[in-house]
Amino acid sequence: MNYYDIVGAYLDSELEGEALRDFKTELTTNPALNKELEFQQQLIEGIKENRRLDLKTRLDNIPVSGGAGTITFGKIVTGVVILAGVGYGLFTIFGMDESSTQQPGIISEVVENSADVIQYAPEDKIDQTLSEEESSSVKKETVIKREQDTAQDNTMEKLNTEDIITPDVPEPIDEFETDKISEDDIEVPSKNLGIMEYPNESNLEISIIRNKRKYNFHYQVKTDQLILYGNFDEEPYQLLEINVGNDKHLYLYFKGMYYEIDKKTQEVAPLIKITNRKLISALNKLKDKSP
Amino acid sequence: MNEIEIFDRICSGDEKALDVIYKKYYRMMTKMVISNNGTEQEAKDIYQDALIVFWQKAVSGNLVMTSKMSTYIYSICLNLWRKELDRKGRHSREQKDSPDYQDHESAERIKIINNCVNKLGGTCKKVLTYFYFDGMSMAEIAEKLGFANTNTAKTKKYKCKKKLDEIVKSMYSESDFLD
Repeated sequence: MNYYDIVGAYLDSELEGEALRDFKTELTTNPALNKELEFQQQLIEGIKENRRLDLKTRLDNIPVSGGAGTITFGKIVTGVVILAGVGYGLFTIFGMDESSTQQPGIISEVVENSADVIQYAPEDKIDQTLSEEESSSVKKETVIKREQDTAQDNTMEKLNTEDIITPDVPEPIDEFETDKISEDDIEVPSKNLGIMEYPNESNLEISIIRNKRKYNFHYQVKTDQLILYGNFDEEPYQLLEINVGNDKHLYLYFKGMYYEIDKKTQEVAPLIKITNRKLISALNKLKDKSP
Repeated sequence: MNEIEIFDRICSGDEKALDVIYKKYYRMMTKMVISNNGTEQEAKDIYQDALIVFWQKAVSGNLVMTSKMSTYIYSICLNLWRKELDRKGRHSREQKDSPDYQDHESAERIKIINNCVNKLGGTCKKVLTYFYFDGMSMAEIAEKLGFANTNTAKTKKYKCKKKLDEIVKSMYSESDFLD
């Protein structure tokens, strides 16, 4: 028998009511039906994977400047280049004259400046720091160049830092002109931090859907995903998990109440308040232990 | 172009808008992974995966933005990186003589199907990915691809999936693929 159509309808959520129940019952006893279901599930996964790879390839081809690791490396390289340049400049200015008392002092100052660039750049304004850093390195290189030229002309006395002319470095172009984002601006939602803090708890990814007429205080569990229907962004909420025997029971804490999340049901279900006092007490203890 | 415009363009399936935010947040997002024991390549992979999750949710219409896009994407990156660290931890604890063959075989089959998807025509590929990956409705697919109506889109999707089914089965014997 060919199960292609019925399995396709099931996977596209086109089966309802009695037809859906009959299909699920048939699944428990029919290996051929199971096989077709597994095959079509893999077809769909293959289609999704194809799209994911297409998008990844697209993103891979977008030129981006290096990440944080590269920034640090870039800073180190910049520092070393500046140091080497200044050292060379000073060498040409002072030659091998060890009697000069200014040389160590100047070098020391330059090293400290380089260290500042490497270590103490504000982390919360990476973009700005980079552009400033680029500008700074251009300025420093200009200083070095001038120092070298001046030494060659033996007109060291005339060199004054106020005379240094720095080139105009264009500001980096920002696609979001009205949206200057720094990491300080990031407010990671508590729901996600909650999951981060309890690695042994549910791995469900949470989504919130508001403004659904039919579902205003409901939930749905899909594969690795918990969908909450309603205004769950008004107040913080928390997911708690309790081990009962071999089972793990999941609970939602919201506005001072607890609600059970049945992970086995895949349909949209209303959130029903827990009234069992013992369970509430246990959940309160668990919640209080949470950092 | 402000964030709302970008988000609207992403919701309508404009991939160029995805490029814009990829560049915009690259450093911010990868820094989080790198500063938490990740390599540059891992950081890039996690960020790309997070953006693809974001894209999928936005295009399917299941995402109502209540915070900044960067906040949302950042939280996806955090969760993905935590999962990856968990996976790495589990992997290092597993004994070398007990690999998970079932997962490996399943991944191989998905790779095979992925190759077969590339043998479909352009329209077929779009119909199937719009439906199964982007979660678009038949009406949206009909509008996006210029079909006469929803029924045309539905018929096209049926035929395309059937075609994919045939390609997979013709290129790989049932015993090789299904057992």
